Amino acid sequence: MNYKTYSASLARLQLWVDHSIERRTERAHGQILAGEAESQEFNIKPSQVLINFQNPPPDIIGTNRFLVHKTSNSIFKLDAEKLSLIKMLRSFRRADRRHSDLEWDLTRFFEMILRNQYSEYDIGILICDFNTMVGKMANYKISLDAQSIEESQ
Amino acid sequence: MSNTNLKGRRDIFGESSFLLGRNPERPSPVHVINGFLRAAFGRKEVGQKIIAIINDRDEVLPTPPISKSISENYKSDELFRKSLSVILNPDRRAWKEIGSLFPLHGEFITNDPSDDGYGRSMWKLVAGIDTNFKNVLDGLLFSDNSPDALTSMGILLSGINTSNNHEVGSSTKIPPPWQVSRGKLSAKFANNVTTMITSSISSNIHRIRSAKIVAMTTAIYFATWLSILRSVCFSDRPINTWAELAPMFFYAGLPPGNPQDPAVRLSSRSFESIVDECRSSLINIIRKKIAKPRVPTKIPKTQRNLIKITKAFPSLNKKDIDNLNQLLKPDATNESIVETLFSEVYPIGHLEKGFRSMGRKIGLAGPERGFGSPRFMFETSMLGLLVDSTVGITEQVSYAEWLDRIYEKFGILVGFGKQTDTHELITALKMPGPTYTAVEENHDLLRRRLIRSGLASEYSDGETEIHRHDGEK
Repeated sequence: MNYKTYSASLARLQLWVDHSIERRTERAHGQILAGEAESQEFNIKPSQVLINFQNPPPDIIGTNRFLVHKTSNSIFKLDAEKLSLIKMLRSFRRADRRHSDLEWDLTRFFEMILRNQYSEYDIGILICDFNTMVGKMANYKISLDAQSIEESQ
Repeated sequence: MSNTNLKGRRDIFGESSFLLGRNPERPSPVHVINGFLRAAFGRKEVGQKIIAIINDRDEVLPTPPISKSISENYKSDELFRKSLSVILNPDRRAWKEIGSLFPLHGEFITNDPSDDGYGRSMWKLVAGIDTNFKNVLDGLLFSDNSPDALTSMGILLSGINTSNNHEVGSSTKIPPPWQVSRGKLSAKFANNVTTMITSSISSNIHRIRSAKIVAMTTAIYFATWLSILRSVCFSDRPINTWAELAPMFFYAGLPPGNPQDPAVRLSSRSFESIVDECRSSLINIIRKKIAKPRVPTKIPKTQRNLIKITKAFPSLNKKDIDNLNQLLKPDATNESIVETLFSEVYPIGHLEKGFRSMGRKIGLAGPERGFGSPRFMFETSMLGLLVDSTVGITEQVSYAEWLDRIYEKFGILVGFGKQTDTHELITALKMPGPTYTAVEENHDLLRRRLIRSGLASEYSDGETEIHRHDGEK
């Protein structure tokens, strides 16, 4: 979701939120980091060839692979096309259709994890400059008790 | 060039408020939800201050809640304003003086008329049908309980100027903006678009606040666009089934589609026929109005048109009427008055441009102007919304049954349902060529897209079932 304007963490999956709704030529020039999930919380699971057959079903696995978040059961299908899109520079142009669909998939995947994996006090804002392809990250600590919004690292 | 200044004058048509205005390309999703919430809760003050903070470097950051380390450091101050813009102005529809913000908190409602009144009309419709929805919205947008940091930020910023001052309580029954008594379909349609909006919150209770607001904003805009396309016919004549209206056929492949593809051509033809139908309904409404006033024969011919127009359209002022009268011949018939008035209100291309422009903003119509004839099509996010508003959280529906549902609820045609014979229905479009194959291919295109997007599953017995992306199976 960060269009490679910002280096992502390898230890955890950052959960991005996008408030833009209107379709414009370019995607939103910013994203909100609303939560994180540790990499141990995920499994890569294969598809099951048989379901509703016996209990427990015979363990015959299929060729598809899914990234599954253990607690929320949020699922992201891992196929060659999606993986290559994620690896390459994400396009900020809406006209790049494959990226639009990937964005939707990722948003739904993140949204389900965020149901119980949101950050209570920290928020990150990525501001992208698509002309120079540079991203700037701003982090804030929000406290309702202390009634304060402060910068954080 | 005309100088009547009647372009987009919706009051000409009477009670229907879901009509295109003067600048149909202006209302964007965030404008419409802002108008919707303003109609529900009234005008607030904080939104204007937030707009100033985002756009005006001279506007001082309020401390507290914003810490002095931010406000007293030039770079931090600038970064905070940009961050705030990402959260509350992602669609860039808030300028220095005016605009609408992403309503992360109810206090961010602004006094922006850019929604052309659609927000208020949609609120009237929803509040008239679901009297408890105001309470639901109040709980969502004004609650001080915050589990997540993003919501906390909204709560803290909501208190920078004023306190909550809106009345909370159930809405009273308000007559919907189109006449539901005329035919069975209009009342059903009013209920279905309302459910689309209310379910965007009620069926997503586990989502974080901002995700619910994004879903609701999209649903309100979708419902508004559909209402603009369809409700004018309800005001014109009693309608009982979708088959009595021009078919709304959506191209189901990846947008915008190849213009030579028969399904794309069908979709373009469908767009044209809906525009034609709206045009003739609007002309009919004017025709009925102009036929009503009776002018005594002793009145001179030169004065008759003036009197007729004044009596038929009381909302027009003297200048408008004089300007219009100048375009008419002294012995103009009723029919030529109707034609002249209609072409002044909606000049050639105005309806097409408006429907396309509004639909394109959320991915229901396209392509962009200059890139081919307008057509109906689905961006993937719109497919998600359609599934969310027609399938229950624990439900799995066969693909054919789901196609029946979207036709029954919204009049949307894509492929062959169990009861919906799309091929039969699209014969009204009078398209030459292999239309059956086109519908068949469109049917399969959508099925494959839904599977790819995680909104359907295909089983070994050939059955495809539709379910929500976050469905509990």
